[in-house]
Formats: sequence, structure tokens, C-alpha cells
Amino acid sequence: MSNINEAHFKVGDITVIRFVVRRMLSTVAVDTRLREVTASPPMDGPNTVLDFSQVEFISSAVLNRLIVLDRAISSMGGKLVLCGLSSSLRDLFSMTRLDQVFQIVDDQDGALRQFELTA
Amino acid sequence: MTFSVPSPRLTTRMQTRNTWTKDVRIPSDTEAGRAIVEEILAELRKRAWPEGDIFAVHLALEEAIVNAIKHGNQLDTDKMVEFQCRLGAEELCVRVADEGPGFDPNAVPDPTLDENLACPSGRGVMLMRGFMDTVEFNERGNAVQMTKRRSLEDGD
Repeated sequence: MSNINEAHFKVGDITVIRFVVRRMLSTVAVDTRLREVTASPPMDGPNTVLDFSQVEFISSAVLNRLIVLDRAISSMGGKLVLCGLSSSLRDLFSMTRLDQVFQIVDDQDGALRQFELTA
Repeated sequence: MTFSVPSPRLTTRMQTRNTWTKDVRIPSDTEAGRAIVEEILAELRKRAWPEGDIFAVHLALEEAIVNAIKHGNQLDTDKMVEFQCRLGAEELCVRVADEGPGFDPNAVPDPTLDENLACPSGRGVMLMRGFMDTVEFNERGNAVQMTKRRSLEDGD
């Protein structure tokens, strides 16, 4: 499911979601993806790339929901990769040590390669 | 309620004519809180504060709002949140107070410990402390005062 604040596309069994919003204060987008992968039966495969290259700010509420999404995807044998984080967002993940929880790479190409490595 | 007294340095700046102030009471509504935050961020941009500083202030204020409205006032729209903001040439000082019972910020588990890393909550206080220069709670724990000094440039 997509909305005007996101662009979705598939690469094989991987869903790539590029957020096209400068400030992510709401958890709606992450919650939507969570519902897609946890529905019974699942509406989509779990492998996910989230591209933040157009995002300047995320709230800690979004951070927290990303943790829940990561757990859900992992429990289904899938992988969540984050990419396109600005230096400020990188600082945020680093300060919270969440850079050790999430797989974070520079861009979409790098994110998709993470799935090849474990294929 | 007991609140910390602004530092002499800040008091001096408050006397300069370039100081921008905003004192307002709002109902416990996150959109109303975010409108105030937008106003503060717009003033920082107008003064050409580095983007890194603006990000830090945005994050800290977002956390303070959520703490005050959701955790402090329990979304009770009959309860108010008080903002006091002083923006000088090189320093921003913001105080956010709610009408809730308060909490002990020192009792919040450290979210960066290995055992808490995957916990999907409890990062608000840590983020405020990490991104602002000073963060002080009053004794009751229902008001927070934070300062951010302007960096020389992004990355400082």
C-alpha cells in the first residue's frame, strides 16, 4: 500500500520504499509496512529497503516503530535495510547506538547488495 | 513549582535587542505544540543557525512536547503546556512545563545499554541530553529547561 509520502517499487522479492517527506513525525508509514508484512496471510514478503534520502528529520516515535518493524521482519526470516540517511540522521542512529541494531548503508544500490550477500 | 534560574550569561543576552522571546500556554494537543516548534525553528532559520543545530533543537523540542502532552498531561486537553523560549544571538533557552505529576528522569533506563538497545521506547530524555548543551528538570519532574549554543558552523 502506498501513499503520497512514499514511492514503492519491487526488486525481485524486495520492497523498496522511498519516503518523499522532509519530516517524518508520524509513524503511519512504518506502521503500514508493519501491517503488510505481519498480516495473515502476509500481503507482501518481508524483505524491505527503506530509503531516507529525502528525509531531513525523524522523531523518536518513528525510531521506535522501526525497531518493531525490524523485529517483525527478522522473525519472518527477512531483512530490513536502511539507506540514504543524512549526516544528522546518522548522528541520531549513532547516538542511540541503533546503528548497531539496523543495517544501514549509503544508498539503494548498496541496500540491494545486502540481500545478494545472503542470497 | 521550582524552576532553575537562567544563567547570568543568558540573562545578559536577554537584555540585548536581538533577543526573540516566546511565552505561550497551549492545550495538550501535539499539533498545537508542533506549531510552536515550527515557529522556533523558523526563527532559527531566519538567523541562519547551522542545520545541525536546527536538527538538534527540533529533535529535543519534539521529545519535550511528547513528554509533556502524552506522558505528563496524559492528553488531557483541560491541562496546559507552558513554553518559554529565549533566543539570543548565540544561545537558545527553552523551558517546557506540563501539569502532570512529573517523573524522575534519572530513573529512566539507559537505552544505549546492550540489554535495552532493542527496546522500542525510552529514548526521549537521552535524545534531549544528547542533542542539547544543557538539560535540567525541576525537582517535581514536570518541567524541563534546555539550552543550545549556536555552533560556529555545521559539524562543530
